[in-house]
Amino acid sequence: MSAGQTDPVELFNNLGWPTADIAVDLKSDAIAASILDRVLNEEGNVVPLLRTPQRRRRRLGLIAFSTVMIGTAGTVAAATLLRSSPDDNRSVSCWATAENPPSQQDVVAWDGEKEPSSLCEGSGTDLKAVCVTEAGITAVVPGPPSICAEIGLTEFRTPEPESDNARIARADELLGAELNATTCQDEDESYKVARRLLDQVGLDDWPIETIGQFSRGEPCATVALDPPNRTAYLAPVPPSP
Amino acid sequence: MTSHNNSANEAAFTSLYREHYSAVRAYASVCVPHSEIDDIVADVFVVCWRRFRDVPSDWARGWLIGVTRNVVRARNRSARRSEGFIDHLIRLRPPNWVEDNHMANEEVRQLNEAFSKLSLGDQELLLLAGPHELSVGDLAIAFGIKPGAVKVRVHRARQRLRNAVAVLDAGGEVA
Repeated sequence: MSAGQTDPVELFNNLGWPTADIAVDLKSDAIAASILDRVLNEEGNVVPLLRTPQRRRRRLGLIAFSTVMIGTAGTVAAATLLRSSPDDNRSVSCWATAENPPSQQDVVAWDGEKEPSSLCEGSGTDLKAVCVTEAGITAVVPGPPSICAEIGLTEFRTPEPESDNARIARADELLGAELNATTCQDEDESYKVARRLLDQVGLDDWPIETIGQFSRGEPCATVALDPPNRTAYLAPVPPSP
Repeated sequence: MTSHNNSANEAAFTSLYREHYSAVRAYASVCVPHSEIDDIVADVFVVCWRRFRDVPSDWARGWLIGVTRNVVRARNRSARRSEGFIDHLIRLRPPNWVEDNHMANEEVRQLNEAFSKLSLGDQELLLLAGPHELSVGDLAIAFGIKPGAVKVRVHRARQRLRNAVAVLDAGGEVA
C-alpha cells in the first residue's frame, strides 16, 4: 500500500454497501410484507411455543456472551490446518439427512472422547459418517463415510497421539482450564500462562501475539490457537458480569 | 395454545422479522442470484418461525445468518448435484464495485482484485464483520465457533486482504 492510500479494510467497509442494520418498514416495503405474509401463511399450522419477547440486540451485550462462552470454553483452536479435526470438541451436530435441512439439525453435548456417532441415535439409519464442517463442527451424517466428501465436508479423524494435532488439543484443554472468564487475567499474566502451557505440551516454537487493544471495557485476555500459522493469539474480552 | 398466545407469537415474530429482514436480505444478495433472493429470505424465516423458541434473543441476527448459510448451502448443493459435481457450497457474489461505485478508482479496482483472490471464508468474514456489522457474538453464533476463534479469523482475513493489496500495489500478483 502506498503512502497516503486508505487502509484496504476501511475502504472495503465504506464502499456503499446496502444497509444491513436497519429495521424494515412493512408498510412501504411491499416485498418484505409479502414475504412475511408467505412465511406466516405457509407455516400457518405450526404453533411455536411462546417465548420471551425479542429484546433489542445489544452490541455491547457481547460482554456477557463472550464471558459465558469463554467461561465454558476458555480457549479455542482455530484448527483450519486440521481439516479433519473439529474446532469445537464440545458439541456434535446430528443431521437427520445428508441434505441437512437446517430445521432438522440437533446439537448435542460432547465430552470430546466418545465416538460422535453414538451421540446421534435417532437418525433412523445404522450407517453414520462422522464429518467435519467448514466451520470446524463435528457432524454425524446418515450414510457411508464417502458421504462426507460427497456433500463437501471432510471425514473426521481422531488426532494421532504424538502429532501436533494432539499437542494442540492438549494445549486447548489446559489453556481452557487455566485461562477463563471467572478469573480475569490481563495481557501480561495471560501471556505468561499461555507461554508456560504451550512449552509444556511441546509447542514451544509457537509465538504469542496480541489481537486488538486491551482497554477498560475489555481488560481480560482469552487465548486462541491458530494452527495454520502455528501461533497463539491473545484477544481482549470483557470481564465476567 | 390459545389464540391469544398465537397472536403474541406472531407479533414477536413480526418484530424480529422487521428488525433482521434487511440483514438477511443483504447477506442473501451476495450469495445467490437476484432472482433467488426472495426465496432464500422466505426459507430462512420459515425456519425461524418453526424454531422460534430456539432463537437466542440477544444473538438473533447471528442465528439467522447461520440459517441463511445453511439454506444457501443446501440450495447450492442440490443445484450442483443435478449438474453432477460438487464445488464450493457457498459462492459469494462480489459486488460490482468498479461499475457501480462512485469511488471507482485505482484503489477500488485493486481492492476488488485483492478481495477476489481471498478464500470464500475470508470474503464471508470480511463482509459480515465489516459492512454487515455483525458483532463477534453474532459471528460466533452464525459460524458455530467461539468468540476467540472469530477474532482470530477476522484478524487473519483482514491481514490477508491488506497483504494482497500490498502485493498488487508493488506490481506483483496475488497467488
